[in-house]
Parts: sequence; C-alpha cells; structure tokens
Amino acid sequence: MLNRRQFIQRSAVCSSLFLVGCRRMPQQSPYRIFSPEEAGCLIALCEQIIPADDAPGATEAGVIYYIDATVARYFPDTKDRYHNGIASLQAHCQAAHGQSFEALSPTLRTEVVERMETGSLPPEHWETISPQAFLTMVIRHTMQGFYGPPRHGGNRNYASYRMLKLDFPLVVGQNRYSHG
Amino acid sequence: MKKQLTCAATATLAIAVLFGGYATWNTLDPANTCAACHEISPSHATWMQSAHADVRCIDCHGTALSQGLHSLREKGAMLLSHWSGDKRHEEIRLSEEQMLDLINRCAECHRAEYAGWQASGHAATYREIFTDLEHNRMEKPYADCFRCHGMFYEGDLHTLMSLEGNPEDWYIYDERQADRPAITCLSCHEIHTPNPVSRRKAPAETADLSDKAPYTALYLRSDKMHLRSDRLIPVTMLLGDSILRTATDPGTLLCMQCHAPNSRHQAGSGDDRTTLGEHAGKSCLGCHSPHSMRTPRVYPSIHGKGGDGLSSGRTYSSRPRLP
Amino acid sequence: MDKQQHVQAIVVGAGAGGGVAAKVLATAGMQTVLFERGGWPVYDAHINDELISQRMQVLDSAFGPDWKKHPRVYVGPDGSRTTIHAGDGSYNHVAACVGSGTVSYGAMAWRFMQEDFRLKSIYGEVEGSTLDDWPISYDDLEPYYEQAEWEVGVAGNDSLNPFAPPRRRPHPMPAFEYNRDGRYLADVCQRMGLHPFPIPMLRNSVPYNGRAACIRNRTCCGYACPVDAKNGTQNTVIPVAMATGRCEVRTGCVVAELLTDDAGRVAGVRYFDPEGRAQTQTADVVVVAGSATETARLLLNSRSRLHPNGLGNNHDCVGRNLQGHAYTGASGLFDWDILDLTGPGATMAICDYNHHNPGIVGGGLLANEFYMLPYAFSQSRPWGEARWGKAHKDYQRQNYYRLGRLLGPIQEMPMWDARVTVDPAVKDHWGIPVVALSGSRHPRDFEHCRFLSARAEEILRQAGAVRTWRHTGDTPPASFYGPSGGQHQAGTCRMGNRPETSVTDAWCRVHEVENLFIADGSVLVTNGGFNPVLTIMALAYRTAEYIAKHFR
Repeated sequence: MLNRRQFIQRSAVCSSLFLVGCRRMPQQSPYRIFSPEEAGCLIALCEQIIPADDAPGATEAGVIYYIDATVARYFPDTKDRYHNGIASLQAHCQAAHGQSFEALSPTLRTEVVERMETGSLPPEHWETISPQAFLTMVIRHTMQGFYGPPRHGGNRNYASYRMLKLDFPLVVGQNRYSHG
Repeated sequence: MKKQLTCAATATLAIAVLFGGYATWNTLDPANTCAACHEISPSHATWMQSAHADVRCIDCHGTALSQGLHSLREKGAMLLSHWSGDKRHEEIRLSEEQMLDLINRCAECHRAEYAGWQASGHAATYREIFTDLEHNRMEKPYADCFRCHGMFYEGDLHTLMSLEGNPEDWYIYDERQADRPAITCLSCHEIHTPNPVSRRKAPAETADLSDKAPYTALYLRSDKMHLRSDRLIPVTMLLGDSILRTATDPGTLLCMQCHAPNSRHQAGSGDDRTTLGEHAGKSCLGCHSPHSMRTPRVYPSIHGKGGDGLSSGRTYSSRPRLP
Repeated sequence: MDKQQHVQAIVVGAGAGGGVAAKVLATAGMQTVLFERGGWPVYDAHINDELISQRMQVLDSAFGPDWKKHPRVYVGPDGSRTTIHAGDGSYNHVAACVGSGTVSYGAMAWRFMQEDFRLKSIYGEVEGSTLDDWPISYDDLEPYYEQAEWEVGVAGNDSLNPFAPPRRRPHPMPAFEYNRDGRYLADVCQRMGLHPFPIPMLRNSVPYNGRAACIRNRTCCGYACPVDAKNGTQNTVIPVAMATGRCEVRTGCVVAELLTDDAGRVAGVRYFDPEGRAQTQTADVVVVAGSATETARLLLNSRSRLHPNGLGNNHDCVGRNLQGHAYTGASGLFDWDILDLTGPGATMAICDYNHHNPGIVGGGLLANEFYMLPYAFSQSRPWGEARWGKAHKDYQRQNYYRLGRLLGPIQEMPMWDARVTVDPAVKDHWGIPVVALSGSRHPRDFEHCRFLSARAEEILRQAGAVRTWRHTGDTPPASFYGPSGGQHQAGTCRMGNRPETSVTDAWCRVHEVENLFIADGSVLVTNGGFNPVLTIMALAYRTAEYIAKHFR
C-alpha cells in the first residue's frame, strides 16, 4: 500500500516523463502583433517622434508596448497597416541606404521621417499605405502611449507626467470640516 | 468484472498522472512552465533578481488547488485567457484573499515588522475605516477612499457596504470582509523588485547604489500596479504663499501619498503632516519607525495645526487619540 | 415575448431629464419604471484614464455606449453613408449609463437668459434657419430652475453677473473660488470693462445633500468624481426616486419601440432585457428622455397604422432642427505658469457676449477652459507647430502650465435639414434600425464663431499672452461641416404651439399622442449660448409635475 506522499512522488516520476516532451517551449516574441524585427524598426521610429533628452523618450517610456497591446486589443483592423508600413519603410531604407531604418544614423533617420511627413519619399515601396498615413498613425499612437496613463502599457514610471511636473498619482487629502 | 477493474485501473492511472503531473509542474523551474509565457516572463525576470528569489511562486500565488474552487477557477481563467487570445484578463494579479494569505507568508520571516504593523493604526480593518460614525456623519464614503484604504478590494463601495438611510444604518455586508485589514504589506511594498540581497549586503563604499530600488513602492489602485517610491513625484508644499522645505526621500514621498494636503498644497490641510519649524525638511522616517509608526517622543508642534502630534497612523482628525 | 406587470409611468433614459422626471413621478405616488440602456457607473472602471475619458474616447467610451453594439450612420454632404462607432467625432456621442452625461460632465449650471426664449421676436427671421420663439417664457421656467438648483445642488453667485436673468432665491451653495488663471483673467476682464463672475456649477462647494465638498480635482470634466461631490441625477434625484419604493431602475435594457393602442395612445414599450430577451412593459403614460438623437430614433422606429411615419411624425418634424454647440474661442501662451491645476479648470465666465451685440444673433458665454491632461495637450497646437520630434516635446514641456484658454458655446441657428433619421439598412446589436445623421450648419454660425473667438483673443492679448490663436470652427476636420449635436445635442422634437412645425406642445407632450411626453434636450427650440443641462432638468421638472397632476 502506498501512502499519500509516495503516491505523489511516484506518479510525479511517471508523469514527468510526459512533461519532458513539452518542457522547452519556443521562446516567444515579447510582443503580441510584432515580430522582434518589426518592433526594432517601430521602436526607432517612435523614438524619432519623441526622442530622449534629459527626460525619457518613447523607447524608455515603453511606447512600443502600448502600441502592441492596444492594436491587439482595441484596433485589430490596423494590424496590417502597421505590418505594411513597417515593411515599406524598411524596403525604402534598404533600397536607398542599404540598411534597415533602425541601423541608420540618427540624422539620417530624422531626415527619412521628415520626408515621410512631406511625402517626398520615392513612392515605389509604399503601395499599400502612404508614408504620410503611416506616420500620422504612428505619431498619434506614440503620443497616446507616451502621454496617456500607464495602465495601457506605455508611459512607464509616469515618464511623461514627471517631465511635465504633473504630480501623479494626484496627491490630495480628504476634506476637513469643522465640527457642528 | 474484469472490465470494471480495467476501467478503475485506467481511471486511477489517469488521476495519478494528472495529479502527479501537476505536482511535478509546480516543482519545476518556473522559467520552463508558467513563466515561459510572455505575460509572466517579465515579472519572473524581476523576481529572479529580487531579494525574494528564494521564495517560490506558489508560496504567494498558490496552486490551482491551494484555495479550493476559487484558485481552480482563477488558474483556469488564466489559461483560458492565454489560449483564447482574450487579452482583457491578461494581467495576472493576486486576489485580495491571496494577498491577505500572503501577509502570513511575509510574517514568517519579517516578524518584527509584522508585529509593528499590527500594533499600528495601519492595521485598521474595513469596519474601523468605513463605518466610523464620526467620519460618516461628516461625509459619505466614496470611491476615492479605496485609494488608501482597501486598495485591493475587488468591487466598489456599493458591493462593500450598504449606504441606505442614515450613517448609523450603514454597514458592511460581509462580516469577514469587515474584519480584514484595509492597509496591508503590499500597499507599500512590491515583491517583484530588483533589489537583490547580494547588493544590499555589499559595503556601502564599494556598491553601486545609484539604481538601488528602495524597499517601498506605492500600490496604485487606479493603474493596478506598484510605483517605486523613489519615482513618486515630489509635491511643492506651501504655508500661505511661501514654499516650505520638505523632505524628498522615498519614505516621505510614500507617506505623503495618503497623508496628503488639499489641492492648494497647504501644510496642515487635509491629511497633511508636513513638518514645520526647526523640523522642516525632516523625513517622516527620521522620527517614525517604519512599521509601528512609533516615535520616541511626542512633539506636538512638529506637524502644524492640522496634526495631532501623535505617532498614530490614525489620521481622521476626530478620532480618539491613542493612549 | 414576456409581459411585465402594468405600471403607471415609464421613463426611457436615465440621464439629466429622465432622472428628474422619474423622481417627480415616483415621489408624486406613481409606480414608475426607469429604463437605461447602460449600467450604473463604476468609478474603478475608468479612474483618471484620459484615453477612455469622455473628453478623449481614444480607446473606448468609459461611460458607454458599447462601440460595437451601438453603431450609427453618418451621411456626408455628398450623400455617402459611413457606419461609425461612438469614438468617432461625427457620432455625436452622449454617455450611456445611469446619470448619462451628468456623471462625467463639467457641471456648469446655466439658466438660459430671458432673451433665449424669444430669439425670433428679438432678432427676426434668419434666412435659411428655422429660428423660432419658445412657446413658454423664462418666467414659466424660473420656479423649475430653482427646484433643479436646490434638489440637484448648484454652487454659484449671480450677483456679479449683470446679465443673469432674475431669480427669486439664491443658489443653495456659495460659489467656487477662482483658480489661478480664472482669477487672473477675471482681473483682466474687469479692467476691460467686462463682467466676470464665478461659473455656477452642479458641484458641492460645501457638503450638500449628505455628500462631500469638491476637492478641486483636475480630472473633473470627462471623468466621474472620486469623492462624489459632482451632482448628477445618478447620485441625487434617481436615488430619491428609488427610495420611495415606487421607482424601479431597469439597467441594461434597450427600448426598441413605443407601442400604441387603437386609439392612437401610447400603451407601453417593447424592449430587450440584459439577456437580450424581448419584453413588453405597459404603462398609463410614457416619458421619453433618451437624448436628442436617440429620442428621435425611438419615435421614428415606432410605426403603426395611425402613425405610419413614426410616432408624432405626421408632419415630418421628428428628428429635424438637430443642433448643438460650436465651441469657439481662443488660446494664448503665456511666459509664466498661468495654470495651477486647481480643478476643474473652468471657474470664471463672462456673459457680455450673450445678446445685444450688433449683428450677432444670440452669441455665447466665454469661460476659462477645463484642464487638458498630457495627451489632449499633445494634440493642442497652433497651426504649423511641429507634430513630432524634439520641438514637439520641448513645446509640451515648456507650455503645459502656460496655456490659457477662453472658450464658449455659440448659439446655433437651427436648420431644417440638420436631422436624425433612421438608417434603412444598418441595425444595432438587437436588430433595431440605427440613427443616421445628416445635414449641415448655418453660415451665420461661422460668423458668430469668428466674432466670439476674436473677443476671446482680445482678452488673452490684453492679459499678456505672448502668442494667441483662435478656434473659429471653420478649419477642418470636415466632420465639422456635418450637423451639429455633440454632448449638447438638442432640438429634434422641438416644443411649439403649431403641430405643423413642432413635435411637442408647451408641456412637452407629443402633439398627436395624448399620453406621450419628452423630457430631454430634444424639446429645446433653441439651444442658448449656454451649456443646456440645467434647462433640460428644469423642463423635466415642469413636464413631470404636469404629468403627475393629470395622470396620477
């Protein structure tokens, strides 16, 4: 007769055999909708939109996590616009500079974004989404991720609120009333 | 008969495999089990660096069987939301009940701290806070009470208590809830924090303390997460129109979140306890010991007109003073 | 279909008007059912979250309605039809929860001026507009304004406002103190010979009705109050109605249709309960208070033999004259911190530009604006400023406390073609035809916006703003050119003495249906140069009192 402890130990041995098979799961991307490569490009683009100086920029504030989480949850329809936009941007950078966007020098990156805004990039890589439309979407979401509340994944450690000297959480006590 | 035996044997084996498998699962390195999922891995990584890396996941989070049906449902829901792609329930948090169980786990090691907290005003229960007649005659409890009292309460004011009729008639529905403490360890402490024991023990001269996480963090009910107290934003305090010198150490910043002034940031207003006079700029922890809140002596003038000068954490101005 | 026990009164919609109506009927002794498609607001569901707040609605609408279940259709000037959700600007959204907009509003408590009831008599015909007088005067409504102020709770002091209409009784609570920009701009206005005064607010300046005083929270307009110091119907009149034991609030219930009998009277409503089951509730009298868009939709969706075009619509008036408020004014950057973030932001107003300004029909108030949280601020730039990069970040950092704003709602000229219809194809989650919005705005509105924004800019310049710009409302987005409405939506079932040009009579009773009343912004003939909530509440008090007298 087995006692309870032995029973558990033995059955553990049996079933651990079964567990070994699925022990090593493939390492997942930390993002829901982006591949690590796409995320690399998008992080660099967001950092152009809100660059770090003596206050954190988009990267440190975790804007990518905001975009990843909210597109997955609230705007699944815009997923393809991101995939296409990032692919177009990378295709342009490869063709024009022989490098991916995130590998370009900071000045060159700024120049590319400026040309995206003015629409002066060669049109051949942008069949599915225009550079302006893509940039406008990324700007909007970057601003939301950086300046919105941290509960959606961005604005880590209240980075933007600290920069704006906005005491958050709001420090406010109870009312005090005199007796009577 | 034989058929029945086979059935029984198969069933026993199945159950054995199930339970055994689950027991094994729980003993494995979490990196290979739950923390392999992207929802949990960042939290796991911080825990690995923390002073609590020797405390197992299941000691705080429990297993699917540790709290009966509740935990079975909870862990089941976790799996379901993971596999169904329903991202609404992605964040994994302790329930208030788990969190209260956790206090006992904390107390196993941090006995003195636990005893100090228990003796302090911060151990006040929901009953003491939410059915304080003197308070309730002045104003009705509201949602913002939970910002400091009952941060982990899973519901709103109307699920907690009846607010029908006069303050004398108001009561907390669930007696068990009424007896629960409303400010607990996790109100001011985060467990998953990069604060390794090794670094803590290093001699101060040689250790790089620049990014040393403080021991405290404020739990933000609004965002359902902790914020390290050294990252809290200092508040400019005023006395009339003049700016006061105030302490900006993490401890004081943390205390000020609940012991807070009115919107004009006037010293002594609201629940504020800003130190004045020769004690201006002094950290709360310069006098109060962190868990019991006791002070070596009573200096009635330190906190200005709003304060009662006592060491108690009981801040409602009309409360009877502690002996 | 299940049938519920007959009651004396049904109120559809638990917002400003519906909540008041339910309270009056229940306290008068009538068994009442109050229907609300949303639920009770839960503070923890939306704490301080700018991105779902009523002001932004970037990710969701914290106070409802559900984006997926309640679509609408926007009809463009070219006739194109687009299906839109509540986060879309052209949706003309009103919160769907108990209390509706009164949970999260800025809570300005304006009485309309005497002139606002007689626009046509004072200003004459306006070409292209259906501008008209009200069938009632300010004096008819004055006692009910007072009742709303005392029962719901208003803090204010009219004595500093020479343009305030006469009142018999002062506000029940003292006025709020100015915040920093309010105090400063009030001084400037005074020096300019204008007449600044503290804005009357449906908010507790002192403890009132057993609830706390305001803590001057900066996240006020667009958010629920953390200390319950903001007075909406959800924490004032609706609880009073429920406490009588005669008012049942049915949340999560979507009213699909008003049922009529063979005599053409309304017999009750058909609705869907929270489980989606079709139900019927009958009553002696029905009050509809679903907002100007949804009330019109409900009437238009209630067709029968005697009312083939929808209830009350035999003269094709239901859904017409949809109006709202173009918000206009100016912004000014200062070289010092003009803001102190003492909530809610708006504290000071002037009514110098309401009426009696040459060439202007109506006009509007100007007030210092509610605060913006950082994301809203990142979207608020003078034309031509950097949209991204270090320059954008620097602007954000330098100016967050330095932007003074003076804005106000302009009295709009009602348009016959600005209207709510029901879409022939698009249905909501329950299969009910949805609102379609079409039409345009009157050119005079733009003129009036230019006038008021120029005045606002002048004040900001006088105040020493180093850079100013106007919000005239005639710049894109294109949705602006669509019908007005928004959270101040009004006019779609206007009051009047002639059934040919109005939907309800002077008691807000639908002309063609003896026991059907309307108690929301729909009945407003014109929308004033003021936030309309107190007027909606006052009218609801008056209407419900009449019902209680005649139907109890």
